[in-house]
Amino acid sequence: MFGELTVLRKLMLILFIFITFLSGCWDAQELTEVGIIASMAIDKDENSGEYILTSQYLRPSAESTFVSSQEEPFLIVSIKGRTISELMRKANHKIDRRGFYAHNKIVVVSEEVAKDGLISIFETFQREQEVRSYVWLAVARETSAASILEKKHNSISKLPANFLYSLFDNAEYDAVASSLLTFYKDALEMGNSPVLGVLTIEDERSQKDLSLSGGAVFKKDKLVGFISNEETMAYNWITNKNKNSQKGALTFPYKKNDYITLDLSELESKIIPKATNKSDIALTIKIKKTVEIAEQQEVNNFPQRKEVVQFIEEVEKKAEAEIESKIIQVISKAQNEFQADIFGFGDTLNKKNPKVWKQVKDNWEVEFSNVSIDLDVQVEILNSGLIQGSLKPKQ
Amino acid sequence: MRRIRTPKQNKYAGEKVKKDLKENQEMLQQIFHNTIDIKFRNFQIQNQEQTSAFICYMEGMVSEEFIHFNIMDGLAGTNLKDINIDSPRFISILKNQMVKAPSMKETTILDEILDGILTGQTAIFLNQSDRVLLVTTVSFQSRGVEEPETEATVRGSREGFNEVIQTNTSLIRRKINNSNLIFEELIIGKETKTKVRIAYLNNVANKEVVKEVRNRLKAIKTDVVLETGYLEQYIGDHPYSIFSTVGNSEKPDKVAAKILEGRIAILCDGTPFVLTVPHLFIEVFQVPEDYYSNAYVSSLIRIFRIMALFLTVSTPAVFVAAATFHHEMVPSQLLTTMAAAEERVPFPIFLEAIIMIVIFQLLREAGVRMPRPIGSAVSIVGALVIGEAAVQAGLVGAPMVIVVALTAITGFVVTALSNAVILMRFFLLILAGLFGFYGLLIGTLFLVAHVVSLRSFGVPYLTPLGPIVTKDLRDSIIRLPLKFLQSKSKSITRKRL
Repeated sequence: MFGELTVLRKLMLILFIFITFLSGCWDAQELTEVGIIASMAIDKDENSGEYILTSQYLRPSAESTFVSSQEEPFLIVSIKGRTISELMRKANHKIDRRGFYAHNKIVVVSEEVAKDGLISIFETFQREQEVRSYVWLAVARETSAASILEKKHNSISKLPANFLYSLFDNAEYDAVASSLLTFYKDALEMGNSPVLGVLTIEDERSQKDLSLSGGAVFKKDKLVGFISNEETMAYNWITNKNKNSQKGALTFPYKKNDYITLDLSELESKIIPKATNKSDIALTIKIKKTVEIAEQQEVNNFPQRKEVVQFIEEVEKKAEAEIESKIIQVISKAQNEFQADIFGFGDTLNKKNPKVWKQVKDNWEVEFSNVSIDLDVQVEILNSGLIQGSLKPKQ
Repeated sequence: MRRIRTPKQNKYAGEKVKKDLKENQEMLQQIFHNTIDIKFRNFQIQNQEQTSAFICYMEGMVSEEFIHFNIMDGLAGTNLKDINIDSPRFISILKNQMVKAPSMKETTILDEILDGILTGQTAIFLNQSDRVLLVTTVSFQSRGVEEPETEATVRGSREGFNEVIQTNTSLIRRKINNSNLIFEELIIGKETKTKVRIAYLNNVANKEVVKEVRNRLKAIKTDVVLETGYLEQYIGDHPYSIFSTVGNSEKPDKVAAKILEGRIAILCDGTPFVLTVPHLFIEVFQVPEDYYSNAYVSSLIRIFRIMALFLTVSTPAVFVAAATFHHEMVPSQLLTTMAAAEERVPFPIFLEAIIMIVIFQLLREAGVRMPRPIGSAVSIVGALVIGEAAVQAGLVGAPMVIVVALTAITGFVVTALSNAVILMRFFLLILAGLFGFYGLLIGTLFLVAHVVSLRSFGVPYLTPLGPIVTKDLRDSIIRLPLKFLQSKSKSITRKRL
């Protein structure tokens, strides 16, 4: 293996030692030197027009198992400046640790910032790659983004960042869980516009509770308005692109005051464009839902199997009508109020019918409002739980 | 254990004994420098001439009882009044009737006599005769056949080799009652003249490999052989590698199994450790119990052993690399916990790891070498001071203690490779501390390249994994049921030298 130490070998050995010990460690960073940032919020100072970056740093010593600490396990620092990367560097002057953004989970932006357009302020995230693309992105509605990072009463987790992260992770189809990456995809793509999650602070029992629901509609990278929870549901059913689109339950009145809840188990959706030229663009949205009856308030009992089948068919019809009305609502809102193609109709058209797309793409925002939409909603009840109906007290 | 060099060897080569009894006795006394453990006993044989004679032996190497009953009784007590010392009948009566011993030899060469006396034979010198009778009377104190401490088993034979080569030979022979099992003997070590035996199955072992083993043993030019470890270092294919390409065991059942697979065992007088060659990497994961218990469990545990090897070599390195270079690769929760533990620690994590591993090595060494009665002191100091107290005092982070503990525990799983493991662990740790995962990767590649390049007596060290010997994969990472193992494996015995 070693043999005799010839001149060449001696030289190589010396070189090896030099290479190892003179070049090593240059990018080493001890854990006690880094300040791990768990979430960020971007606001805009109304007076000066500067950005305010609020970062939530972890304070690991508060999590130590040896010394029980009264300190909160996090620390919030706000800095004012002109560009985000400037702010990220300035933060190092204000806190005794060097910021480390790879574990950042959430970026919250305020409405004002979102209205100005996000691509320009997120530029440094792409350029410097310090913030990962899989961070959740959300808009703080009717509150400052910084206030979202503070600890809330409805948080079990000690760390607000973990609480926020779980909100996105558990989101159902009445909310939007969108990451930086999907935001970029939707915003940069032709004939598509992103919808981001909305974080709101609700006053409940004099406590401030935070919730993730509804959607913030963007026209490309600029915020144009919000859609309600119901509309967000319909949006998620049409696009079906996030994990959370597959989760949730639909509640609607079955008979007057009796409600029925259907639990979604499978969702398929498809947008089929049909066009020969720019004047007759029509889209068919096919949605197939497989659901289970989770709850039904009307007390009924079916001695006959036939009645059960009838009941199920009836529920399916009602559900289809309910879903259709919601979808029409959100599409008309997008077409008329926002003129933002949040469903990616343009993109679908481009893929299926590029010739027509070329004619309309320069003026798609206007054209989009005139597109006629057909709906084909199918609901299939897979399982009704108690097949013979609900429990009924005997007379 | 210093190796002594003496310029002159075999001073008495070719010399013969004298005819005169007195001259012979004086010569022996002179050769042995009047050492006190050489014993002479003079007597007269009751023949025509009243021939005077003496016997010579080494005290403690022989059974004096045996000499008394089987040699002295016959020599000094038999009446041979009508027989002349020069008559040919005298020698034959001497050999056949007077001396009752299972093994004896007649010689005139001084060298042989000296060797005989030194190894526990009794030499019978007769006046006016240059023929000396060497009678095997060897008997000495030895340890019994005990359970080996280095290779404990739950199930299986509890016999272990001891320090006597004859006993060890018999232990192997008892496992393989087969005329094809051959033992060959060589004497190695110019000063120690140690008996070394090789054992193999004539019909299974590759003849070329047997020849190679024999040649390499014969080529050893050394004064001292006290343990098979000496031989291992002389005959191994890669004396400068950290991996040993020679296997060793204290268990006759294990050695017998290896001989049956076509390997060659090398026994050495004075040590319970028997070498087996060729030695493959996969053997460090194979334990006799694997074959004595259910195949599913054996396979699972074997996979654990392989995992243990990787863990014990790389855990500290991976931890250090992740904690100093690649914070983004650690899950956030874990990173927070790690950061919380490191908060009060004054040292860089790399230094912390080095310190802890060195301390563990010291503890281990102390545990092995210390006298048994003070054993508990080491474990108390080790467990309390190094573990609990160091963490409490904030000198070491708790995760580091866990990492070192994991390293230590998994290190005990693959004991056969423990020497290489210690070196590999430091090697990777230093690279990881300097370059992070990049260094770890380069180090691992270097080690893999090195292991792949090794050979043991012509067999690539990584067989049957690299090169792949499809048939022998049945007993590598997993062990198939015995039904699939019945035919002979090929890795060892196929010709390739």
